[in-house]
Amino acid sequence: MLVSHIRVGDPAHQDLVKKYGVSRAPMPLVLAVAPNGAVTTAIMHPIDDKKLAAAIVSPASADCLKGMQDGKIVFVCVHPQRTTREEDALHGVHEFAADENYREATRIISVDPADPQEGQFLKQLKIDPRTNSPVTVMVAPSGGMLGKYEGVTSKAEFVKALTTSKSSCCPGGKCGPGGCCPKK
Amino acid sequence: MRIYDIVMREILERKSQMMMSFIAIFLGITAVIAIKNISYFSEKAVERELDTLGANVLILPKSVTLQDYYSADLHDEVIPEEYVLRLTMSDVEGVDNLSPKLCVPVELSDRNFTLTGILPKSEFSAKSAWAGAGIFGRPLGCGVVEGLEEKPEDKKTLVRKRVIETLEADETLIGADVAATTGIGEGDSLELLGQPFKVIAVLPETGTVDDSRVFAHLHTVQELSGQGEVVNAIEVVGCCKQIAAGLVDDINTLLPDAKVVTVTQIAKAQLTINEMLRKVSLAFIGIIVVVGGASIANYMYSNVSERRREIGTMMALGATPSQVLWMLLFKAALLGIVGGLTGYATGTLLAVNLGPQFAGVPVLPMPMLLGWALGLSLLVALAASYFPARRAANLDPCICLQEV
Repeated sequence: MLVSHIRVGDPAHQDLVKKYGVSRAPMPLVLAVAPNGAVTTAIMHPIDDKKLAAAIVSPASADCLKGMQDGKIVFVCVHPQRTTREEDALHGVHEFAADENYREATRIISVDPADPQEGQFLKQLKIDPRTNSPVTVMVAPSGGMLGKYEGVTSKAEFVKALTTSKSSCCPGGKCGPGGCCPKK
Repeated sequence: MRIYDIVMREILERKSQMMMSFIAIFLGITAVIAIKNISYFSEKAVERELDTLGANVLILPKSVTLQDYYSADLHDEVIPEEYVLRLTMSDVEGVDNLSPKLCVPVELSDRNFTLTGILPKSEFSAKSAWAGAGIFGRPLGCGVVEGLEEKPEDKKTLVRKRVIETLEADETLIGADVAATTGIGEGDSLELLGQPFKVIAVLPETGTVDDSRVFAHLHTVQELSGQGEVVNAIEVVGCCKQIAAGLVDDINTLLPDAKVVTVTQIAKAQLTINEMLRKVSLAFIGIIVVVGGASIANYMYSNVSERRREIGTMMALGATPSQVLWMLLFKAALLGIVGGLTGYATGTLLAVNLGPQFAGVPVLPMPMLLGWALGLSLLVALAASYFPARRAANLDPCICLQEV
């Protein structure tokens, strides 16, 4: 673990300030950065042990966060080693990622549910580590879940999830992007 | 001689008497039509605003008071830009679409416009994922998957969506009035505060102050104006569910030094005025009925008294009671029709010309109110004239002629 003290006004630190876009962030601020460059958390004042502990994340969680912070839709593919349906589960994901409309906006991450390091990550995705079936989670760049699919996947259902999320604003609601719920 | 000719001759001979009754009807109808016309468009404007902006929240400096949503940032008070990242990186749900703004007056082609700095979502939306892995449990927010496809963003949707995905430091979008007045179009260059800009879009007309704005990158505007890292307002395009779930309270807790206002609160003042106008129009209807009706009734009674001998002579010469009744009611109807027509015309003119000043919304003529005006004035005139006319119709010609 490496700890760096950065002063946003110091010319020597401007590269880092610009890289993370924190020149206008509330101060003091603690950024926890994973080895892959993902910001695992940004802690504003007050800073405490609990928040610092939560900053340490698993490799798959870091990969997922990196994808989100790069503005991508992340497919978290949870495949037990004993499953024989991995190819079917990945079929829809690969098809979606191959589409020229979504190629540049997609990141795929594989997770073994038996890996104890990923326990917390799977818990946050509400996936049982004892699962026998492959599970695919589609995560938006903001972190919200666009969909969770068990077993076989298809590109059509991913596109439908994306289209639905664009046309409705509120979770489970019917508000349009323009404002409040349309009058009946 | 026809009834019409008798009535017209009588009116022309006793013009001044009828004038007072006409004025009472005319003024009453004018006031009612003007008020109803203005309040209709004012209510429509509020409905439209609530429909399109109903879930929006404004974060403003504490000292600012505001009447109009679209000009919420047109003041000199500021709040720190860091509030944007404070909101983005917080666990408050429903703040996915933020639009911070800073306004600076500028001159273009010898005309004054407002240079509005806006921050594109690309500058801060990635930081919503800095909240840590706990964000996987968050509900899906608004517009979180915008901009992922290869299609370029249509910048002109800024006026409708209130946020923009990307904007370069040297790019601008200009309002419809700015383009019309200066002749600048899409693809042209312009200079603002000594800096050259490219015009990447001319925004569609909205009928709001946005038509007189030039939009540029917030940080560019901050640098050119020398105001520092501040904004005049932060617009949050919200979801109704988040508003109901306490978004306003959450933001108030996170930013205790700012004022958080919803569109409903802004519209409240206008709604109060609309309600007052509605009550005033009801009062005027009452006044027309009572005062106008009393004036016409008084006029008709005195007219019948004055013309006893005339009416008696007519009946002696063969006029039937029903003909006398119709003659007087016809006169009342003429009074009602002329009063209604002139009242509608004058009321509409007043509404169209004064409405924008009083209610702040454009007002157009409403042809449907003509039927309303005629109906009301006729009803009052005929109702007030009925009993005097019946009295005249029941006159005994012998008694009338005895008085000769």
